[in-house]
Order: sequence, then structure tokens, then C-alpha cells
Amino acid sequence: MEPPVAENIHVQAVSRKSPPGRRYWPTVREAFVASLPVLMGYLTMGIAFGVLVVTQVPGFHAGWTFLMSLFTVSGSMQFASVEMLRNAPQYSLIGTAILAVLINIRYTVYGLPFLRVWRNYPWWLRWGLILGLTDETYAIICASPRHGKLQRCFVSCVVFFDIAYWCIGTVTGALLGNHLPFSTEGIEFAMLALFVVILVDLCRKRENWRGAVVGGSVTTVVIALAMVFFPGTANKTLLIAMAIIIGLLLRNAPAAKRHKICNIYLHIKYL
Amino acid sequence: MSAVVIALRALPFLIFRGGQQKLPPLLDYLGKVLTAAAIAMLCVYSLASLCDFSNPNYARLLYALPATAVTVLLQLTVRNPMVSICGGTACYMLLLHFMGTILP
Repeated sequence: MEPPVAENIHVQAVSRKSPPGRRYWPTVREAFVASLPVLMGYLTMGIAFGVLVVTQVPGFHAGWTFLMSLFTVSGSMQFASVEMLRNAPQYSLIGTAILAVLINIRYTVYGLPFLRVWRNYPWWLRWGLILGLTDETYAIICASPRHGKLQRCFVSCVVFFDIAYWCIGTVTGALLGNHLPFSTEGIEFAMLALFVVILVDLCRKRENWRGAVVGGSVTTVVIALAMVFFPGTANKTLLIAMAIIIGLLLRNAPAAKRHKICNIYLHIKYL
Repeated sequence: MSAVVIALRALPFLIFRGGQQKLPPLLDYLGKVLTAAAIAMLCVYSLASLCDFSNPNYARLLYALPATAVTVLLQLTVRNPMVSICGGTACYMLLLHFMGTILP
């Protein structure tokens, strides 16, 4: 995926002499090539999401899909929101916010490596990049060996392309949704499949196993208990499960890390 | 929802605006571990929500489990999210379509 280093140096050396418009063109093209796998992934996932949201939520307009994709750009969150929109009365605004925090807490961590570099970018570009910082985009721009203006151009292009793919995919799906020639019964499985795929990829790393096992087993127990003892309330168990999971994980945190809890407070206090 | 997601992404940029470059280790730890836990939680939750909470339909669980296995296997071997998601979903839809007449 990454171009060889020698080639990259060559591009930089050539572009220093060429006029500014020309100078960024190779980087734009490289950014497009680097984002091709994301094109395939986002288009399929976007279409799946669009079809899902239109068929599951009655009266959902394609325009809403576009706005939602443009301002959220988060596959897992949007898939989860389908379930919320379907049973909208059962979810309060605060519940939705908490669920969004839980699902997307990882994005907070993604921003950390870029703090120093992005601070020098103009504010509109920085906020655009922050908006588009997804799993896939993060992976691509982490792997980029560029520096300075070329890096900025590359990162901006990758983020822009990825947001565009996602919006195009979801709107296409939403427009297709009600005109599919076959029965869409069972399409809701795509949501589960997406989560399973992400989980499998995460579990390739040994360090993620404990989190996955704790998360999965706690949720299984909580939902099973709720279904047996409090039928009808089982769809409100997510928060309870998450609280238990965080508690368990903090208990298991390595001791050296645990006593640094106070560090967070110190950080916040001295802002 | 969008507001929360954007705020989450912007959070580190807002908090660590000053010269402080080191991030608290606990945040680091939680960020690493919580992702897997949250996704695992969502897996179980959406698996359970396939068979309708208020009116449990356990036959659907019976179809969803093999389909999940297919998804996992595809992702482990082919390593292409697109293939895995489409394969698993097709498997579930076919099971639901053809077995649905035997086990409603």
C-alpha cells in the first residue's frame, strides 16, 4: 500500500521544481490509490446501511441518510442507530448520547497521535479532518510516511475521499432500498455481521482478547437474566452491561496503571 | 448523536490543547480494552435482538448462529469485510427463507 521510500523521495524532489498546482497532483493520486480498499468497503457497507435504514425505519427519507452520514461518518454508530430509530420512543436523548460515547470512545484515542501535527493546520481543515477520522482513515494516514505540506495534502485527500465514499454509498442504498427485486427479510443480519467482522479483526491481537471475552460474557449473562426475569425490559440492558464491563476492566487494570486514575483529574483540573 | 460523535473525536484536541503531550495511561488502557469489549457487547446484543426481546423467537437464533459462524470463518480466511458481511447475511437470509416454512 505504501509507495517505496525511494519513489517518494523522487516525487518530492521533482515536485519542488514544478509549479504549485502540479506539485500536489501525485500526492492526490497516491491518496486515491491508498483509499481504494476503503472505497470498496464503504460503498458496500454504505449501501447495506442505506437499504437497512430505509426498509427497517418507516418513512425515512434518503436526504436524512445523507445528512446523517455527512455528520456522523461512523459505520458502527449508524448501524446501531437503526435499531434506535426503529424503537425511537424507548430511547431517551441521554441514553442515545451515552450509547454513542460507548461505541465511539475509540475515536478519542485515534486523535492522539496527530495532536502535534494537526495543530498547525488551519481550523477549518483541522475540524474537517477530526470529523472524518474513522477506523479505516486512521489506519491509512498512520501508515503514511510523508511530511510537511505533502502529508497535509495526502491526509486531507484521504479523509475527503473516505467521507465521500460513505455518503455516496449510504444514499445509493437508501434510494435502492425500497426497489430491491427480492425479499429483504433478514437483511438486519448485516448489522451483526459488521460487528462480528470488526471483532474478529480486533481479536487478531492478543491484547484485545480479554476485553472481548469480558464484554461478550457479561452482556450474555445480563441479557439472559433480563429475558428470564424481566421480559420486556431486555432491550434496556445495554447500559447495565456496559457499567459492569467498565467496572470489571478497571478492576483488572494493571496496578501501575490503576493508580494513575488521579492523573486524569489532574489533567482536567489544570486546563 | 452526530454531535456526540464529533465531540468525541474532537475531545483530545480540546483537552490537550496546551503543551502537555503525554496522555494519561489509564485513558490509553481504556481506549485499547474498551473497544473490543464494546464491540463484543454489540455482537451479543444484536444477536439477541434478532430474536425480538418482547416476543422471543428462538428459531431465528438457530439460523443466526450458523450464519455468524460463516461470517467468522470467512473473515478469518478471506480477510475481506465485504465478503464476510455479504456471505453471512446471504446465509442468514437463505436460511430464513427456506427453513422458515419448517420452523416459523
